[in-house]
Amino acid sequence: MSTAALTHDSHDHQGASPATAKFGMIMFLISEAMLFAGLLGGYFVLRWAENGFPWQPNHAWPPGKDTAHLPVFLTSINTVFLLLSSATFHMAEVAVKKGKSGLSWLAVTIFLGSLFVGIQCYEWWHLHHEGLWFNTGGVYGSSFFVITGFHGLHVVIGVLLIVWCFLRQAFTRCFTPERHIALENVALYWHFVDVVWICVLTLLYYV
Amino acid sequence: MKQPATALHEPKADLLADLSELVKARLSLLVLITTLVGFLLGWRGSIPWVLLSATLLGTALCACGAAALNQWWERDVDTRMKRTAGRPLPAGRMAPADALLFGLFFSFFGLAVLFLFTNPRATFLAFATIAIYVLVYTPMKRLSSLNTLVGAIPGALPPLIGWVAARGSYSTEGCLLFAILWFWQMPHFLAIAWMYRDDYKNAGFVMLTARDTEGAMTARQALLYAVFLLLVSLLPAILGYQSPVFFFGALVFGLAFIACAVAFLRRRTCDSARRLFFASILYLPLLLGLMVMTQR
Repeated sequence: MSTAALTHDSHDHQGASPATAKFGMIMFLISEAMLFAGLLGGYFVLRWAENGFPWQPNHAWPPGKDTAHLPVFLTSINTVFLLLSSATFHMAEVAVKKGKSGLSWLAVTIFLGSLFVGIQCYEWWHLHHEGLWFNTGGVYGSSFFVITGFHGLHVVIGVLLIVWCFLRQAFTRCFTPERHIALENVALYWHFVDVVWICVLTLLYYV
Repeated sequence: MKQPATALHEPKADLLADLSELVKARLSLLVLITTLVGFLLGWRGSIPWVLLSATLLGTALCACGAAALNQWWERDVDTRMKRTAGRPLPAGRMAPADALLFGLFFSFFGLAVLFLFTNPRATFLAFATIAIYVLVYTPMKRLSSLNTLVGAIPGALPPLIGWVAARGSYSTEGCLLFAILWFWQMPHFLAIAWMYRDDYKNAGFVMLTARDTEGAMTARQALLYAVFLLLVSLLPAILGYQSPVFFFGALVFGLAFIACAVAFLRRRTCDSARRLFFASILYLPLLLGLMVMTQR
């Protein structure tokens, strides 16, 4: 990365070298992964202790008869939106590498990300109406709201980061084919949030 | 090492300053406040925070998008006016295609928020606001001096958007709110247009004030609209939607505003035009504030 120092003067707001910035993001994501692993592990252990596993005879999940079921179909559709947004973000990166602005792909990504958040909010509201909340439904309710809430917060932060990328690119064109580490890092974060969601979806909704 | 090939222009852009220029932050804030007033007047009972925030977010996005589209459209004319030459597009700090995308995306996003959270009527009103502002008013500025009459429509629609988002229907009260805002804008814009008449003429905008160097016609019209504004602002109280307190408040504010218009008619200088302009800026929050506070 010998050119990094030379281009530095035209980008005085980008302090660290790209390699350092990327390393920092990866370290951050590893710690984030541990956090989610803790949450999902806790959920798994508690659920096991209470109801056993799906292949065991006494298994019942959701635990009570009156407890609301999670809207699995809607969430599956929503997952498609989130996966698509990862793809569109990748297309934005490809466009920037070709020397284009990548703004339209970023716009589509922001839209899909917001759509995901909106549908998750609707789901929360729906379940709340059916009587499920943090403090009701035992492990079932509390783990669902804590884990999806925590993940949803990550998506919201991700959308805000992409909006920030969009605005910076629209007004200053700071992402060039040679240097767009901020965009790369936000992409890493966004894909990470995507992968975490697949784990959340599998463990909370499907199993 | 040479400059990156895609870096557009030499002067370094300040993101936040350029952003607030492109979205016309102060104007959009005014739009937001009038929407809030419309909503508060329209709603009965305890405030629904989700609906209110969605209405404000959607309207704000639409206002920002429309402002960007307007600047994209006028990017050539804006270079010829002192007041606007420093905007990101005419100054060459931003690519036109980027501004167009920005404007379309923000408008679309705002409409989507309104559609999902409020109701189709409010969404339609927001769409009409953007369409009239960008597609009718903006091109009309170069063609006809009647553009101010049309330009005041999108300026007066936001409180109605707030009203309809809260109430679900237009109703007389909502339309009165629209009328007050419409009449208020006329003296407000006439004062601006007269102060900057040379700028507008150089840019090729056809304004009523261009031929009127004496200012007599401008001032007469401003006074006429100020009188109409007073009458319209009294209607909510006369029709029983507002309390008598509002009636007398509106009467006092309206008469004071008329006095400023009369002063402008008698002494047609830039100073008195500016005084009329500031009076209009003071008048609106006072009247709308009173309206919300004395709400029945």
